[in-house]
Amino acid sequence: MAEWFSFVSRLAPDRQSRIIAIRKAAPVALVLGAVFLITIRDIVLDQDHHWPISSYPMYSGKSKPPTLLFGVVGGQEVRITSVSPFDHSRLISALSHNMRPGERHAVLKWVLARQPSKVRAIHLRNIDGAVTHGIVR
Amino acid sequence: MRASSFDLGISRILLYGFCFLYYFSYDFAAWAHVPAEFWRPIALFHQLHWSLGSETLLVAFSVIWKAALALCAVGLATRPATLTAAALGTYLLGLEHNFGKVHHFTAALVIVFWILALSRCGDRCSVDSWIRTARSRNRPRNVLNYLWPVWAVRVQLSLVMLAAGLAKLRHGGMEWITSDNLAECWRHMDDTRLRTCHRWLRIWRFGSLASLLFAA
Repeated sequence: MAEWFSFVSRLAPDRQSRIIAIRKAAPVALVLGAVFLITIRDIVLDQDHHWPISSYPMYSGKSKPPTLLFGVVGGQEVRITSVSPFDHSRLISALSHNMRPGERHAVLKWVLARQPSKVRAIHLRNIDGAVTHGIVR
Repeated sequence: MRASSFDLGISRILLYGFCFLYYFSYDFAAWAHVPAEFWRPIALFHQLHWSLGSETLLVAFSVIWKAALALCAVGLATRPATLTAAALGTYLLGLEHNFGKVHHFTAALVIVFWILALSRCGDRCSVDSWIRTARSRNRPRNVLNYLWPVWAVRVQLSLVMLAAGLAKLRHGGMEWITSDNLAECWRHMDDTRLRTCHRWLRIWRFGSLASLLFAA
């Protein structure tokens, strides 16, 4: 601690320069302090909805088989892993959200339209393997 | 205590240079074609009333942002470039999180962009500093100007690691470490490299412990 005070006093040797330095640094320190405090609050309360501030809970839950998206090609199922610009986990998560029937139909229609023409249908299967939603070209 | 304007300058080159190369071919405008039914705004976008821009707007933002990253890396017009990179970076990097899932790999990056935007990271190893030297207008600065950004980034990254480690202990406990949980998470992903890691982690069951120790 003594070393720290000696370091600071070397940077701003007189009272006037110290006051100027503090005045200049105060706005930045306030902003950064707020960001760090909100981060600590989110960590303590286990909250994760203030992006880019986060409690970083990725991969912390017990893994479970996700809902999977399949395309039907020549009567056989082929797993669809991504649809640009969605990566796999975002696509599955987005399709798993609560949607009204009309909305679900619209998004599945969009996914199907971005598949090769040989893909005649797509459907979602849940954890148990049951088809939950689907659409035919 | 050894951090200096030189260290900060090198950090600036590495960060913005890497981001420029990494995002150079990324097509942000592709999000403009995604159906509105997918749009689930995160708190930041909701509070600031930011919406999904048109394709033209996203292309414009993208080009300006990538140019700003390049300018930041070389240190030309560093202050306006870093502010532009931080502001547009917050929008562009946050955009994809409004579509169903929030990934966390860009969160700390956005905060670091803002830290560097508020700092004097262009005072060394930059075109700006060469111009100032040529005009003999280089003024000596308080070393604290170059220390605080380094400390702030260190604190931010430490909080990321602390939060990630605590979340795993809180949600999974010891079972998270001793089971094949992490390997299973990776197995479900669409990434060949992670699937290879998954096989490797099955052999070495304590891969999860290693990731927690790294976080600690």
